[in-house]
Amino acid sequence: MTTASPTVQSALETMTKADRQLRKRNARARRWSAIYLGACIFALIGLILLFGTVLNNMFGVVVKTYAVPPSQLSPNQALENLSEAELGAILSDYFSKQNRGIQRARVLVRDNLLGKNIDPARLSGEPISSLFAGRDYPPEVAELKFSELTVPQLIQLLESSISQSQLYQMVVKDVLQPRIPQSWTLLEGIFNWNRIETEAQAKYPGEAIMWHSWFSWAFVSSELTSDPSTTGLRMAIVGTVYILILTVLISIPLGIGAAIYLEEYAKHSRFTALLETVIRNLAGVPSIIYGMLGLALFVRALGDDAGITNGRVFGITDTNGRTILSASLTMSLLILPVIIINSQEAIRAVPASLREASYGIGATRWQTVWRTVLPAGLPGILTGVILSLARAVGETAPLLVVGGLTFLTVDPNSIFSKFSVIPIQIFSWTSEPNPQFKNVAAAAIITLLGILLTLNAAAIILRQRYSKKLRGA
Amino acid sequence: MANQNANTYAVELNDLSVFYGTHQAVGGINMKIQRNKITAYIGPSGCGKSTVLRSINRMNDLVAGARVEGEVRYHGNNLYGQGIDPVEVRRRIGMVFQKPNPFPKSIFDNVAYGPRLLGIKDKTMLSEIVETSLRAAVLWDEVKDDLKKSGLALSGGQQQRLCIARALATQPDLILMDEPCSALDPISTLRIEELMQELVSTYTIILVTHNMQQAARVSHMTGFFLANETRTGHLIEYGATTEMFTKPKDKRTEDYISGRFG
Repeated sequence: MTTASPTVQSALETMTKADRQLRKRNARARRWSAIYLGACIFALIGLILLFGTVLNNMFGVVVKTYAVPPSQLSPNQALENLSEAELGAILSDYFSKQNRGIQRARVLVRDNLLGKNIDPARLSGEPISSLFAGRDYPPEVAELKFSELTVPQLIQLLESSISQSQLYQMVVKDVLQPRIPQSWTLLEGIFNWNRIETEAQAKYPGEAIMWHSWFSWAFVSSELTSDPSTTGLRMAIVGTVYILILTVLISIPLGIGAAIYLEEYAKHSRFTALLETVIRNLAGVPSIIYGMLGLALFVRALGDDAGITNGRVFGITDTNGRTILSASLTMSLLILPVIIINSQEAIRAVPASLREASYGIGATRWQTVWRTVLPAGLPGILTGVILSLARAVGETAPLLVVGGLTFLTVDPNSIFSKFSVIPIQIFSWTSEPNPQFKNVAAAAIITLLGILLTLNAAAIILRQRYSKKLRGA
Repeated sequence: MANQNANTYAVELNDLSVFYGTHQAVGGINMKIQRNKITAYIGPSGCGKSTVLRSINRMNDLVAGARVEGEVRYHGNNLYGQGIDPVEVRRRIGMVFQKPNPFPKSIFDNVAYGPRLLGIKDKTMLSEIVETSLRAAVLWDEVKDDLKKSGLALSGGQQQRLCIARALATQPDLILMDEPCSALDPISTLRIEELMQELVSTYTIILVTHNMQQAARVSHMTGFFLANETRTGHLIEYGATTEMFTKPKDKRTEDYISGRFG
């Protein structure tokens, strides 16, 4: 000890001092861990608030009014329990009294039994026996033409072909015509039920208030309308699914291909270094800028000018460049950098020993990539792909620029269709003045979150299953 | 004479030098590897023995900036000559690596990997190759009921024998082993050494090892490598193992073998 050099001496002193300060050091460690815990709690509170707000808007209390109250139609029994004949009687009674009721009845029969697109010449020219060949119809109408049918006969045709629940839906839609003139949120309902009740009694005497979920199967599957109580998300969901699938088809081969090239083929040079830097920076470019690019390149140049993305070269003439194809190409550009970077990381994480093993047996580069590197890197690649797709599903800005519509009357049915997507619907509904659209938007948000959670869960399950297989368990 | 050479020697290294970028890793290696013999490369870390081994099946080609000068003659052909495809070279010269590196696939698929690369798809043919290779690697009896099991589920020693079977499946006649036992326990090591003794009747083996006892136990010929001041490896002495370990000609060999450095 006496021979220790001055440096060692001073080091020893510092250590002894540090021992004396042990309590202080421990206290500091505890403070930091408290800060980390605080951060987690903060995040959790944020998440709870987010879901709380959405759920608060999605469930609530409503007043429902009817053009014809259900109790008047069926005083003794719940309306949905009536038989087909009784429901048919209600419909035929209603349409007979109604001005232009017969036109509506014809439309119902045509749309539900013959199809919207039936040839008008057939409809006006052929007798019922040939229009309804092979189906049930009352024998007395067999020789009549469609336009000669009376309201009760039309309703009879409906009764003989469609189910009770479909008839019930028709009664609700055409006769009852429910409306929701006012709504309150979940919390208001829980804490101010009495106040709501008096308010509703004053404004809508005789109408009951009831709990209501704005999210329902009817909401998910109905078409868009301008009335918040009947509108639905179907067109936006179809649009989202279309764009998602097309984006997958475009971006996965390109993204993984680029990653394979950069990792396995490209020699490290200034050019590839530059390329990688550019890709990394592209991943951080704001999405609206991709929207501008999509507008200039896919909508205008390749669409309106070249006629590719609007389908003109394929003989489709009723569209402009603002199509599902343009949107998908824009989305693909947006997520390509993320897919490339993630796939590169995944490929890089494949142990070099596996590549050596493959080359050592006499595999070519392509065989090594295809049979060893890709399978081993697949879990990571898949995770990256699915997470970036989840991002694409939630993107709004670029699609607004590329031309996503806020109102559609028909479902998109090809890649050259006009489109809407769920986030655009949410955006448009939240900017409506009618407060009930906030409730509808909350229901759409839940749908979107559901889709995103499903995608993320799929990513996790795929990765787990695949990496388990690789580990050999 | 050439004919006789081709019969006695599996590989001839003529004035072989390997460079990584501007650094010369090994230089001036001249060596004749005898057929159906185990030749061991020994020497301290960084002496270039693995580099020489990897230049024999052109694995160094995969390292960016690697360059080879001189000749590697295999069956009389210079492997670095014109018109030689390294992929073909690697198929004919099998390699076993330091760490067992089975593919994350089934045992069957691991062994069938090489034949499948060559386009063999016939199921019975593949099964036959897999069985023959696993038998040759003395692994068949342990895994024959579990060919669908992942190669990674085997023990370290079994994995290494699986890698040997995988190398045998493409019918090489020369096997390069780069410290094949350094990641294994003594019992597994012993089994691999026994396996080498069996294989050498059909194959020529070149073995890089850090373990001098191993070299003394299994090899017929030994080459001792040493790096000079510029970290360039040279072949110091090459001869029959018994002679190298009993009366080495070079002082440095004697120092290394007797444990004075390295």
